[in-house]
Amino acid sequence: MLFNSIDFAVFLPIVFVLYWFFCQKNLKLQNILIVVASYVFYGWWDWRFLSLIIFSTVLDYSIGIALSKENNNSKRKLLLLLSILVNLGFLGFFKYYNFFLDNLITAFTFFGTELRASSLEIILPVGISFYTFQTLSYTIDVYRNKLEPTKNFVAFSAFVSFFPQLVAGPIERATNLLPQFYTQRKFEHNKAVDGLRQILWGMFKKVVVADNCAVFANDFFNNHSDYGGSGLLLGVVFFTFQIYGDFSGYSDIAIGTSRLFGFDLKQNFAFPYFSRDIAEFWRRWHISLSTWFRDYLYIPLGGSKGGKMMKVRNTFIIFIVSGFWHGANWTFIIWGALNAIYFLPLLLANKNRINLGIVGEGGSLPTLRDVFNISYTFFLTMIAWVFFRADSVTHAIDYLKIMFSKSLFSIPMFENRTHAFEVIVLIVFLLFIEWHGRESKYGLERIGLTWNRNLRITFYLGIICLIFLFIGKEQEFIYFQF
Amino acid sequence: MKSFIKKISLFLLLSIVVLATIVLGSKYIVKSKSSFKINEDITKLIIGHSHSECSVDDSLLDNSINLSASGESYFYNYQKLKKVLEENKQINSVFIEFSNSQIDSVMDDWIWGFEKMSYYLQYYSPFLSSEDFNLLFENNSTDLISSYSIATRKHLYRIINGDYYLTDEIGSYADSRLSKINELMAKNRFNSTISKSQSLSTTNLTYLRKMIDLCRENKVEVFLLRSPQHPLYADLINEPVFQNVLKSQFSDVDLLDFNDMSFPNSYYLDFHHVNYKGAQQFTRLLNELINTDLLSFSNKQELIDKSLEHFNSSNL
Repeated sequence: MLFNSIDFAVFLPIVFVLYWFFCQKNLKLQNILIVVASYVFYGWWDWRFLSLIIFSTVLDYSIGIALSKENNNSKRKLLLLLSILVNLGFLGFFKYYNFFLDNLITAFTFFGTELRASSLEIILPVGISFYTFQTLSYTIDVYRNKLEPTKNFVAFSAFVSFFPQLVAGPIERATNLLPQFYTQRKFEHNKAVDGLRQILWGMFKKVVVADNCAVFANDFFNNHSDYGGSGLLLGVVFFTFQIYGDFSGYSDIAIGTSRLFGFDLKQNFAFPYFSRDIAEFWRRWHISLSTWFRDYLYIPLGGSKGGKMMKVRNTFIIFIVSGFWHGANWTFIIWGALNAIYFLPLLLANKNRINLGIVGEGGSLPTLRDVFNISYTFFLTMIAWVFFRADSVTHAIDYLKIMFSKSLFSIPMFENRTHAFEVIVLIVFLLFIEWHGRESKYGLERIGLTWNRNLRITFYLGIICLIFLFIGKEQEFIYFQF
Repeated sequence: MKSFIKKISLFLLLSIVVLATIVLGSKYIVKSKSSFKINEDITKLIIGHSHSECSVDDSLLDNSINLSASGESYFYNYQKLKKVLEENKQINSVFIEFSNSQIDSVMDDWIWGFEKMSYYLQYYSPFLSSEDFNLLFENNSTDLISSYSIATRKHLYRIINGDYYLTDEIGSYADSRLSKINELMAKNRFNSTISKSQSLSTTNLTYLRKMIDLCRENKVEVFLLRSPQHPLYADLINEPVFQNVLKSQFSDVDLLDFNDMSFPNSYYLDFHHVNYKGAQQFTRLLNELINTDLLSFSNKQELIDKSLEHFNSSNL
């Protein structure tokens, strides 16, 4: 079920009413309803893959219990290994089987040996990369004794399958989300209103910005040889905002929906396009994934401790793995490696933590230096997005070659320029609101808390009108494919 | 909790009222102010999809206007015809393009598929009857909402710019200077757009019938027209089905069939369409035939076939 679908518009109020009117006084009922609703939400897409979630839930719940009873370190390691192997095994099979097979065949052919094996028609279960990482975080934290294993199966099932963030995150840590299922949720008016406001902003980002940018980004990327450099530059700009609007919009809707049910999820995007360097960008973009890799991969590898070579190795590993997490394609690996190359000079010069605060904090405008740094970081990010969006590495290189040709300085020629202009105005509006609200958790929060009632309501109505007027064909969220 | 539900319900109600005012208000203004007027001396109207859009150069056909539009199914042709006939009483003949692809079930997607619906409702949504609206709603309610949002945006622009003259926007002759036949043949691209089962689009055919009835109600002569198509055009695969539909459903209307008119490859844009060279030849021949009283002949096709025979042999 998509957040931007009519199905969800019917589903959400039904679950909301059942939850607060019939289950408010009973914690177990609240959790059972969340599990049932989450399974319906997921099964709406393909009920067969529910079995994977249920299997993963049972496995990690049982391993958690077993870990709590086991004192022998080698046996504990074995249990952890079992969870990692099974969870990553599913992920590997569904997501990476064909990629590895194709590359193996290519490698054998390169060395003159023909390998006969055929690819499988595998459907990638929606959200598998997200819930796999979420359940893994539970087992690893229990193994590390950072978390008491749960004996409440319903609460654990609700944690694994919690529908607002099941298919595209934020990837929640068990330490943050699981305990919230142990206590009865009480309806809080302000929290629910805040949740709705965040949903509204998420819908704006997805439906108005991302889906309208997608029309142009798709055209420029799919027909790149028909356009000149300036057109292709515009295409990357559109994609840059498409991916942001799409994914951060999803996160806003997920976090807002959770708040409607009394849950607090972690912030997943903190205005990344206002970052002054790449290190800051990665502290602000897809925070739940970056911190997951930091805690469960980068730090165990030694992190930024040790010699230069160690730092270089670890940085490359984490960025490349992060790229590969997004999809089984060399384009994602290069996207990850490119970000590592951007990041390394900062790390090696010990400048990766100079921009920890909020840009222009307390003021209304950035300094000229900030503007320069933000633009430079934005430009680097944009170049990397070409690899992320391209169908193949050759496609990305071709795209960049044309983009950086002489035609970069020509007037872009493409169809539907009026609509493109409208979309650019909408992007400027998005940036304006996000800049205004950059010290809050999401763009619209500050307006919601500081503007007077009538102005606020008029503003919300304006956003609803924009959503209606710019709604396009119902499009899936990009991160569903990951 | 109750106060939350109450506030949200009120806010939702307010949103619905505001949106309904924008949608219905803009629709009402466009409906009441729009104009489909054409020159008083125009008496012949050509309507259809891209085939007639490319084939009839109305500057070469006396007293005519070509309002064909590519990708436009009979459902939207009907909306256009309704308004044009209503505002232009001088029109006495209507030529409706009738080709192989237009009978096929792929046309359903041209009626309620997102791409076509969202495009054509920008022009015709204010003029849909409740029956037409229901047809779209029943077949694709999700995309209908998106299409109405796009249409409303267009209406708002129209109102802001004071631009209510729609005749210039709803179709015209497409003067194509390209010729892709040799390239397509080299690449072996003979793909058909016809469905594998060759099933019919009853909805599209129903709206063709509505167009014919509408013309007759307005005492306007109506003809079906098949423009020249390349002999290797893959959609000709359903020719037996096409002939059967013609006989069983439209035997009361004359088909002016120029399918056999043949040109060198350089006169075609692609297998479906002629380019400007083909259009000039075809339109001149059509004009000549009409001026020699083709439309009053009882066996029109016989006269057409003779002319085509002569044309094709002289071209060889």
